[in-house]
Amino acid sequence: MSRITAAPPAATDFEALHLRIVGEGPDWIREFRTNARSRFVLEGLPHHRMEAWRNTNIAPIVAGLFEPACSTPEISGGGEGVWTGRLSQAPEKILALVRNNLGSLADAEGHPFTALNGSLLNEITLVVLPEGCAAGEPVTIGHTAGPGNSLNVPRTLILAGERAIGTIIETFEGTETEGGYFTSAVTEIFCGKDTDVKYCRVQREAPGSFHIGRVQARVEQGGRLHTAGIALGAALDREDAGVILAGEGASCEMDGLFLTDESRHVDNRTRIVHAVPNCRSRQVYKGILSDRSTAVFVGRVIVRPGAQHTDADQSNPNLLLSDDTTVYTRPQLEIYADDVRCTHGATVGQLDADALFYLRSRGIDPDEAGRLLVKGFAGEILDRIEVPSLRTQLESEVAGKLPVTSGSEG
Amino acid sequence: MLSVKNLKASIDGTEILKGINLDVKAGEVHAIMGPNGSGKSTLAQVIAGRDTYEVTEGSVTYMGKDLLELPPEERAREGIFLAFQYPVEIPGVNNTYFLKAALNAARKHQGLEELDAMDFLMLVREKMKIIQLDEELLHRPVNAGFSGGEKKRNEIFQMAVLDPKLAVLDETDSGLDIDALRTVAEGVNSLRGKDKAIVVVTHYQRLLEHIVPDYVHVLADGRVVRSGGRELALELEKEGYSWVEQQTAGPAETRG
Ligand SMILES: Nc1ncnc2c1ncn2[C@@H]1O[C@H](COP(=O)(O)OP(=O)(O)OP(=O)(O)O)[C@@H](O)[C@H]1O
Ligand SMILES: [Mg+2]
Repeated sequence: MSRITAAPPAATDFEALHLRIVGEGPDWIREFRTNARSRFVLEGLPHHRMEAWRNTNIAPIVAGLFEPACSTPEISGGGEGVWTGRLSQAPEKILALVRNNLGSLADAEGHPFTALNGSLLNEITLVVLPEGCAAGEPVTIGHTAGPGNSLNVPRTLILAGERAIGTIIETFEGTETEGGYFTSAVTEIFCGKDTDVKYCRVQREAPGSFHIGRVQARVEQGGRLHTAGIALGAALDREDAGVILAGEGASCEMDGLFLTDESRHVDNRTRIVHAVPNCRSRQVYKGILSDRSTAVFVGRVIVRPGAQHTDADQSNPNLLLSDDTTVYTRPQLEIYADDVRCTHGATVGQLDADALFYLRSRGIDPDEAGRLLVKGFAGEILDRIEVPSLRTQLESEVAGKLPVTSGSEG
Repeated sequence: MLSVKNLKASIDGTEILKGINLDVKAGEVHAIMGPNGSGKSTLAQVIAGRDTYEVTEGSVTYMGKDLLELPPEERAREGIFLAFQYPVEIPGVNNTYFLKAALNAARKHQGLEELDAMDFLMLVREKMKIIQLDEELLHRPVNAGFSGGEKKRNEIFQMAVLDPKLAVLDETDSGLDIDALRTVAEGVNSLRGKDKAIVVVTHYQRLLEHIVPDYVHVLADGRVVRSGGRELALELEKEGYSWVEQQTAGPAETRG
């Protein structure tokens, strides 16, 4: 057991862990871990005086005693032409790809938890969509966390070659009903020229667990990336999603839906870089909060000099189902080009009283009316998930998590 | 069927309905006219059970029941339908799903068997023909992005499916083109029956040519200031409301 701290005594602990858990593997991977560990020690743990962590208190994580666990991802689907598997199963050709790309998008600098993930890196999930490949069925990656007090470091690398088309679903869950474990996950997605990639991430960790996730993607010329981040579980969830639109005509659509109840906390950070002209990005992150839960959304859009005709939209509607919830939401636009269109908007509101009355005036129960409205609110995000089985499953999961809202006041 | 007695209602302490009397019997059609802001929609909403209005005095009896005691959903299940002046857009809630839930809530309440998907679809098809509602609208979220006229048609379509005993139509004719007006009127007329009643709120005599009322009431400043037969609507159209207002001072007589 060890505490997650960057202070010297813990660094020694990590030394021991390395030997015991992640000591094996090719030289380059050992080197990767060592570098990540130095970075982790250098960065130190974030604290609330840092801008990026101002609204999220990681004290419960810092206070915890964790035992690093091996990652055991379940990978299925894909179909013809798609290579999926774990690092330990990868042939030489795939290994070379991993070696060239791993960590090049999810830079650990300024991201201590990415460094932590790297320093304990063991298994890696790999999805390779070769040039021109059209994945017949979605690739599903399922991460199941270890027992209570485990420290899990899932790592995923998705490589889509030119014109490749594919859908990847990545889920995070835990069997430990009490939770208490900690997952620090990192996923990197490379979308080549004219690719069409859909990535759906479902966080349904156990109630008392901690989840810190990072997704970092790069889209080349004419490529399209659609991401959907659905956060349903964990006591504390921090999600950093970054996309670099690196080639002209690239686009990304990012959807998010988070449901929080009790005293749970979800912090979503997006960072979209428009590096070149004529790219489009759209973000819609929706929150449904009840009880005493809190949520953060910070949407950052960076338009680099010369990235003319950038078209960027961002919105963060939040539905508060109780008076004791708190939402911090803010856009951060950094625009260094003049011919651009950037919009942003956030709303924080309760169930629409007029809509509730309309439904009730047709004979529908207040509770049912409330549920319909909340489902409708979430539906805008879920409807865009193109895998029918996943969409249906999420719809019922979301419906099952909705509190019984009493519309009788409306 | 419906008996409103000395009804007073206010919002945020401002009195809007100042003692309404209205008596509607089964088989009758009543028209309510009156200047903007006179309280027509307020009356309609109070009948439907909107609780943003506080009823401070008076009573509303419906089929022998104290209506004001019932929450809106129960009023609907007992057969009251309000076609809203401004139908509400509900993104993400499918029109068909919503209507089926509404219909089955009423059927359950009335001790009838709930309709399954097949029977419901057949009913919907039949009513759609009468109202000439574009089928595509059924698959969209309730009223979301509907044009003004489409929303009004959707209200009448819902009414046709729910088959209420007492329908209150709040300016359902506003915003309709001439053809739509006729179809909506036909839809309303097809609902007429000796055990049913209809209250139409309108500004225009034109609708009343299609839906011929038995009684016309003029509402001004929260009171029924004049009641009469259908010819009253024609007079109003000619003379305007100022004519009624001049004629009337003090508490109004009613009959309906
Ligand atoms: N929610 C509210 N808050 C404040 N005032 C209100 C509210 N609802 C209605 N009123 C006021 O009550 C009065 C009556 O409104 P109501 O909508 O009943 O009129 P109406 O006769 O239907 O008018 P119109 O012909 O324009 O539809 C108006 O003066 C209106 O401003
Ligand atoms: Mg009105």
